[in-house]
Amino acid sequence: MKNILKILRAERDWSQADLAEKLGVSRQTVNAIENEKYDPSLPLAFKIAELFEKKIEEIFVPEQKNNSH
Amino acid sequence: MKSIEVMVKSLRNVAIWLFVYAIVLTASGSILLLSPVTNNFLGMLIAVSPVIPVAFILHSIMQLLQHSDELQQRIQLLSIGFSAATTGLGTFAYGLLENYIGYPQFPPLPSSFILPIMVFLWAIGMLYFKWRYR
Repeated sequence: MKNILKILRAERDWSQADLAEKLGVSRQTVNAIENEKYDPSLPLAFKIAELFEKKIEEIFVPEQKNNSH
Repeated sequence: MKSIEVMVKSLRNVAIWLFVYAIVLTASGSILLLSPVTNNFLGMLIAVSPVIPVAFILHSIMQLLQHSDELQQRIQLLSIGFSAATTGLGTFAYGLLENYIGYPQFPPLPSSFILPIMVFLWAIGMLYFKWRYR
């Protein structure tokens, strides 16, 4: 799952620790989501969307399947 | 309390109670070996006393899991799964080797060693999965 969390965070000049505190998760979790190593649960995705006042699908985008046939 | 603080506190408690477990296990074994207890009930209490620190270890682990966020819970689940699988497979393999008659000989593995092995492998698993999600 691709996401624009790093961009949204940078726009607000928040550190990963700042965002982690606002979301009630660890900094490692924010880092893992930003680096697309971990996809958040639906409740956490809603929390992120609410915090940035956006829809979930504006932040998280499913990776396109490479259909070469 | 922040999740990282809870995690550090819980891991510290696990380490402390593991140390206490080693002491109680040694003391209990020594008492029973060196001066056999005539009272059966007291003897059984001394023999089973290492369970008390183990209960505190499990309590600390449960606290750690309850206060962790979703990624940390996933890391813990994978770590505990890794620990259970490797301990199970390792002790099963060793158990089969105990039946091997030849050289080298494999002495019976005391079942009281299994918990420390599990905790050690849990810590190894946690380091690995934390690294994978960094």
